[in-house]
Amino acid sequence: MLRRTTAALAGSVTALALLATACGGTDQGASATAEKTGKVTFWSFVKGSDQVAAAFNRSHPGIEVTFETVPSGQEYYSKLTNAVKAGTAPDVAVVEYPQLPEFAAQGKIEDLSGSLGPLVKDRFPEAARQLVDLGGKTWAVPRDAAPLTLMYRKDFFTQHKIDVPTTWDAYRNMTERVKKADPAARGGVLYTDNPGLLSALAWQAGGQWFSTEKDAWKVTVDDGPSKKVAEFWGELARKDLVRSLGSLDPFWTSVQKGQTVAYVCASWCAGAQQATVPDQKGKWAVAPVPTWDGKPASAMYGGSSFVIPKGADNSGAAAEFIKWITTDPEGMKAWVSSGTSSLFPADPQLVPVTKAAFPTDYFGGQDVYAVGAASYDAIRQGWQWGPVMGTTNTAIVDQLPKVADGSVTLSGVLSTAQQATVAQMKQRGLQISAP
Amino acid sequence: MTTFSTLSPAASAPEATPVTSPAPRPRQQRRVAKPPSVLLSKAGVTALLALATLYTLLPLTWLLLSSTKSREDLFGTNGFALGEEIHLVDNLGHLFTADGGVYLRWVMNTVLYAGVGALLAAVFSVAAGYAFDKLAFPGKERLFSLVLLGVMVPGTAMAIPLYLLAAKAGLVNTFWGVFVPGLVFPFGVYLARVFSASYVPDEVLEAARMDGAGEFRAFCRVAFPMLAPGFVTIFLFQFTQIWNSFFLPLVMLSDQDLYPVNLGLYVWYSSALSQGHPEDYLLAVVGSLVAVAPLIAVFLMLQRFWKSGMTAGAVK
Amino acid sequence: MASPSARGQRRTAALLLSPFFGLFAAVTLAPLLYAAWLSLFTTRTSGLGFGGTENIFAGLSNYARALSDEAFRDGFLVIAAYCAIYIPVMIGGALVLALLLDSGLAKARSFFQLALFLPHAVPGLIAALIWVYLYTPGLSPVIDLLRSGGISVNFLSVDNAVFSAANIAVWEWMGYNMVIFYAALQAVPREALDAAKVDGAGAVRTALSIKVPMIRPAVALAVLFTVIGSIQLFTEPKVIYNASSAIGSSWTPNMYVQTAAFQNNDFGLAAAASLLIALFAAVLSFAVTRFSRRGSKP
Repeated sequence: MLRRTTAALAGSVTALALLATACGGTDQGASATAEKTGKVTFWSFVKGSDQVAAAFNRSHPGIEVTFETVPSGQEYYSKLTNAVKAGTAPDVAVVEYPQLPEFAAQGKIEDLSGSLGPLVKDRFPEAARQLVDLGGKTWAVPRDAAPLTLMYRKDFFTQHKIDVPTTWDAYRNMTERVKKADPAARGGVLYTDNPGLLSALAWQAGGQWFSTEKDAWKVTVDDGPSKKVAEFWGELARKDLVRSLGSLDPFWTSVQKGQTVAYVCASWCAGAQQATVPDQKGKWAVAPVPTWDGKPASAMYGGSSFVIPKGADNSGAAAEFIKWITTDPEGMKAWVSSGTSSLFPADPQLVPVTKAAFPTDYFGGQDVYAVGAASYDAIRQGWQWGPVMGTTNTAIVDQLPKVADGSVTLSGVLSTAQQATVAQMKQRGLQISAP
Repeated sequence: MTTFSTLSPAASAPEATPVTSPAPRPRQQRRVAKPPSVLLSKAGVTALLALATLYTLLPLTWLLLSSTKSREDLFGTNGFALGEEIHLVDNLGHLFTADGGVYLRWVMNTVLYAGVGALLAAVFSVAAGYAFDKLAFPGKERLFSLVLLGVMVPGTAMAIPLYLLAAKAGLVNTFWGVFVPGLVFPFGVYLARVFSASYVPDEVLEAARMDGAGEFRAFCRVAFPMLAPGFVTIFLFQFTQIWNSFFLPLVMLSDQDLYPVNLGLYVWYSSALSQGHPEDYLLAVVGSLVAVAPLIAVFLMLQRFWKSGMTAGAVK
Repeated sequence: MASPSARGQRRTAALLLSPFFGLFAAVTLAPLLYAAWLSLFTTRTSGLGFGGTENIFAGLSNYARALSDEAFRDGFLVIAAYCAIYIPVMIGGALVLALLLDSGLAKARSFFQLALFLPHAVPGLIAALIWVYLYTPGLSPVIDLLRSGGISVNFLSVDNAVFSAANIAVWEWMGYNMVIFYAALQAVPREALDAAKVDGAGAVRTALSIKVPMIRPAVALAVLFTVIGSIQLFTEPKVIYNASSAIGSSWTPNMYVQTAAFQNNDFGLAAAASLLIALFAAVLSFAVTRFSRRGSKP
C-alpha cells in the first residue's frame, strides 16, 4: 500500500519536473502567443456563474464572456461530449474533478500545461493539483476544494448530551445514541443515488482507487481501506443507524423534519444547509470529519474545475477568463457575491475573500472556514480519479439502494464496480497493470 | 367496412349520440328480467368512475398543493395537505420574474416549437397520407414501409446522430435545430392514410374529378376539409410529442433564451438541490403547474375534434 | 385509368409527398444511415489514454457485443414482463371505463371523460416529478398511509419496478385509450343494441357479447400501438431509476442504449443496439398485425 502511494507520488514528481523543463521556466510561455481579446462562451451549472461572467466583462473590456446555463449531472457531461464531437463546444466549461480524467482521456479538452500549467503549479496545493495534473499534463484549473466536514444539530446534541465524534468508532456510538434519544432521528446518511460521499470516505481512509504506473493504470476500487469504509457504512445502514435515501429532496425533507441531525458533508454544505432549511437557523454547527485513528485526515466531496474544451475558438481569452475566476480575488468575490455560498477556494490565498462574504449567523457565528481550512490541509495526497468514472459510478449507484435491506454488501458493491471499471477500460484500449 | 358509414364526423360527435336516449326504458325491462347487482346501479357505476378519477387526479393535486407552499412547508408538510401558509401568489410572482422573466420566454418558445411545428407537421402528414390512400403512383407500398420504419425507430437513440448532422449544417444552438425535427411525424402519415380511407369517400373524389377539378384542387377543396378531425388529431399527437421532447432540445440548445419550457424546468430542477439553490426547486414545481394549464386548455378547446378523430383511426 | 389522369395523380402525389419526404430524409433517414455507419466503428485509446483517441473500423463486432451482453438481452425480458402486466391492465381498464361511461348509467359523463383523460395532457417530465414524489420513501404520503395500515411497500425495489413503471404508463394512457374506445362504442349501431334489449340481455351481457366484439378493431389497433410504445420503454423506468437506482442503468433496452452512449461514450455500441431495437420492434409489430388480422377475419 505504502509502496504504491510512494510510486504514485514519485510519478507525479517526475511529471512535474518534466513539465517545468518543457515550459523552459518562462511563466507565460505558450499563452503569450494566443490572443487575449474577443468573445468567450462559458458553460456552467455552478451557482454564481452569471455574476462571475458579468463581473469579468465589467473589468475586462477587451473580452466578452457569454454565459450559458446548463443542467447539472450526467446530462451535462453528455451534452459537453457531444458538443466537442460536433465542433460546437464552448470556450470554457465547468467539469467536476471525478469527470476530468475521462474528458482528458477522450481527448475532449485542451492540454493547458503551456498556458495555465505554471499558474496551477504556483497557486494550488498538492491536494488540488493532483486532481487536475494527469499523465504529466495540466488539464484544468481548480475553482473550489470541497474538504469533508461533519454537520450536526448542536441543539439536539446538547439537549441529549451527545458528544461530537472525532473518530469513526465514536461516530458509530453517536448514531446509536441519536436513535435512542429520538427513534425518528438518525445521525447520518448513506446516499442511494450518489457515490461521491462513499468515494470521499474511501479516499479519507487511505484508499486509492486509481493510480498510474508508467504507461498503465492500476485499478483498486476494492482495496483494503475502501473495504473497511464500506463495511463500516454498510453495517450502519443495515442496522438502520443511518438513513439510506436519495441525496436531494428525500434528504432535505428528512433534515427539515428533524429526522437527520448529523451528516458527513463538505465545505459547500454550510451554504446549502442555510439556503434549503432556513428555519433551523442557529441550530446547526460544523465540526471536523471523524477519522479512523483520531489524527486529522480528509478528502474532497465535490468541487469543480474549469477546462477549455477541444475546438474552442478563443483559447487565449478563455485562459485569461479561467485565470481570473479561479485565482483573482475579484473573481472569487464575484462567485460568492450572493452571500449564500460557502464554497472553499482551492487557492488558499483566496479564503479570506469567501470567508468575508459568508454570513455565519445561521451557524451561531461559528468560523466555518477555519474548520474547512484545517480539513483542506489534512486531505490525503495521492488520490486520483479514474478514466471511466461514468462506468465506475454507475456500477456503484446501481447497487447502493440494495445495501440497506441487506441484499448486497457495500464491499461487494465495490468489487462489482472494480470489475465493471476494468472491463470498460479494456474495451477502450487502456493499459491496465495487475493490481 | 360497414361501420364506416355510421361514422361520419357528425354522427360520432360527443353528446349528440343515440346512447343516452334509449337508456331509461330498457333499464325497467331489465329489472324485470334480472335483478341488477349493486355495481350496475347508477350510483355503483358513478362510484366506480369516481374511483378511477381519484387515481388520475390525486397525483395532480400534489402538484397543485405544492405550488401553494413555502419552501419550508414543501419539505416539512404532507404532500396532500395544505402548507401552513398559502404562497401561491408569491410563487407565481417569482416564477415570472426569475432570471429576468425567462420563464415567459420559454413558454413562447414552446408555443412556437410545439404549436407551429405540429401545425406544419399535421399539414405535411395529411398531404402525404392522402396521397398514399387516394392516388396511384409507382413504388407506393415501398415508400410506405419506409414511413413505417420511421415509426419504429426509437427517437431517443436517433438524437445523437441527428445532432452530429445538425452540427455539420450549422443548426446547433439555433431555433431551427429543434423546430425542423418536429416537422416530421411518420406516425401522422400512417394515421392520415387511415383517416383518408374512412373520411373521404372515393365517390366524392370521382365527382370532383368529373367536374374537371385537378387532383391537387380536389385535395385542397374537397378532401382536406373532410379530413379536419383527423388533422386535429394528428396535430394534437405531434403537439404533445414536441411539448414532451426533452433529449433533443437538451443536446441541441445551449442558449437559455431558446429553451422550451420542459428543458428550462429541468435545468431548474436538476441544479436546485444539488447546487444549493433550493428556491429553484419550488420554481420548477410551480412552473410545471403553469406549463400543464395551456396544454389542458388546448385539449379542451379541441376535444370535439379529437374525439371523433381518434375513433376514425381506431375503427379501420 | 386514362393516361392523363394517371399522370395527374402521379404529379399530385409527388407534390403532396415531397414536403414530408424531404424533411423525413433529412431528419430521420439520414441520421438512421449515419447511425448504421457509426455502428461499424469503435473508439480506441491506448496506454493511460491521455494521448487522445482514434476511431477504428469494427465491422459487426458492436452488434455481436450487444447481442452477447446479458444486460441487453435481459432488457427484453423486462419488456416482456412489463407488457404482460401493463397491456391487459391498461387496455382492460380503458375498456371497462368506456363501457361504464357507455352504459347509460353514469352521471356527469363529460366530467369523467375529461378527468380520466387529464394525465395524458401532463408532460412526461412533470409526470416524472410527481411520481418520483409518490414513490419515494420518506416523502410519499401514499407510503405513509399504507404503513399506518400495516403494509410496507418499496415501490422502487427491483421486484416492484415493473409494477411501478407500468403504473405510471397506465396513469398516462388509460384515459386516452378510454376516450378512443368510448367514441368507438358510440358508433355502435343502435339497432344492434335495441335487439339485444328486446331479447332481455342484461347490461353486462350486452357489453360483452355485442359492444366489445363491435369495437374489436379499435382495441386491436390500441394494442398494436401499445406494444410498439412498450419496446421503446424509457421514460417511466428512467423516472424510477432516478429515484432509486436499484433497477440498474440498463434495465430496458432503450436505457441500455442511453447508458452506452452517454455514460460510456460508446457510440458504436449504442448505435448498434438501437438499430437492433428498431429491428425487433418492426418484427414484433408485423407479428401483432398479422395475428390481429387473422383473429378478426372469421
